[in-house]
Amino acid sequence: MVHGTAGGLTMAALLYGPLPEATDADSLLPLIVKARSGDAEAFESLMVATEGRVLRLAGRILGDRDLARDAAQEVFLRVFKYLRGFRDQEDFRAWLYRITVNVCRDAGRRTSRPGPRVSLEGHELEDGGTGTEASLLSRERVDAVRSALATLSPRERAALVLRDLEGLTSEEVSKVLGSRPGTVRAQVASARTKLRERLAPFFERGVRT
Amino acid sequence: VTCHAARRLLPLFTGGDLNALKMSAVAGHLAACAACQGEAEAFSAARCLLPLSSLSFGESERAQIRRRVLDEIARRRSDAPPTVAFQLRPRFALAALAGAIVLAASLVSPFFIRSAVEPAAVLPARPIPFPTPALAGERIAEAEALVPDRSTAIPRVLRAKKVPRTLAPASEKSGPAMRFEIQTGNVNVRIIWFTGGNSAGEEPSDPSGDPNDVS
Repeated sequence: MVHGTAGGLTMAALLYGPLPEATDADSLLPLIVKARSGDAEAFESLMVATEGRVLRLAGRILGDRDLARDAAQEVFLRVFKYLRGFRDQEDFRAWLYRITVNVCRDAGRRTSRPGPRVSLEGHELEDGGTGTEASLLSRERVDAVRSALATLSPRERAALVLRDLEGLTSEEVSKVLGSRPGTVRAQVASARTKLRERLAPFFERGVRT
Repeated sequence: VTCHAARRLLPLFTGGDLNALKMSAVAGHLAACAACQGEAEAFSAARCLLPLSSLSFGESERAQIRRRVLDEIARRRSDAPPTVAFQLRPRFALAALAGAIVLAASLVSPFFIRSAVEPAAVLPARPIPFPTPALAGERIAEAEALVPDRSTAIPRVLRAKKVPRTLAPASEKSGPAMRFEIQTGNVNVRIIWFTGGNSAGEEPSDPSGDPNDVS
């Protein structure tokens, strides 16, 4: 049996370990101060330190590589524009997540699609895509997960991604989404239930095998 | 905890989103109920599949995004006016123009208002000759002193003074001891009013007094 979180660590953190660009807010603060004063090199360093998070979050919410790239670009333009309003005692990561979620929400409205696109170009197959049965199963599973995510409402998807994939607590997610922790927990529970129903064939097969 | 209650809490239980009391209650139920245990494993397995949804972005894509962002920032900086004052330049120009108009109006308007209210106050350029027909001799100079400043204003004063009998008109030899002069707005018109009266042949009570005394 696989349990969800333990001591604040989420499943994604347990499976994949700390993210390479997961720089502490304190170490980003000098860059933020310099970038705020108009230092382009500092802002570029700030982008290098945080672009992985932004791209990954945008990709998970939008489900499309091109949309995620455009969203990340817009996120950093907004960061540069509003960096003067960022207070040093704030959590930069939460601030960045909030901007990213808002940009993804705007992008979702512009594309007038209820859910994320299911992009087939972003598959990472463990065997290098040789077309074996295992790779086909893996590809099928990836498609199923993305399709299941695409059926969630935007708020449920954002809450689930932030809570289960980005590793934020319910309170942190509530601050990012601008809602109450109880609301976030209800959205996350609903999203997990839907995912469990839609992915049942895959993990039951996986459990059997 | 019943199976129904436990299954209702399973989505949050698998994520560790329940408080300690509920977590332990659900865990106790799962230890005793195989069906609910299987359901909890299904939720956990679904969560394990979630990371498969992630897209990976190569370094070249990241570098391209950075370059686009920096280019866009540079373009916006070059397009943007250098200063806030420059940005607000049209407004500053309008404000300066309005200020100049107000200033000019405030400087010019008193002349128009003064001429409209007091047309007689516009004085001739040369000094006003003091009208002296009612006085004679050396008294003229003294009478001229009654006008405080003939070059700037026309006196509109009521003057009453004692007049020696010798200066009184011949038609009122018995006459008046008081003489009132009222200067009108027109410098050439003065109203002179003799009033009161001593008995005929009576000398003024104080012939050496100041003829300009106002009583």
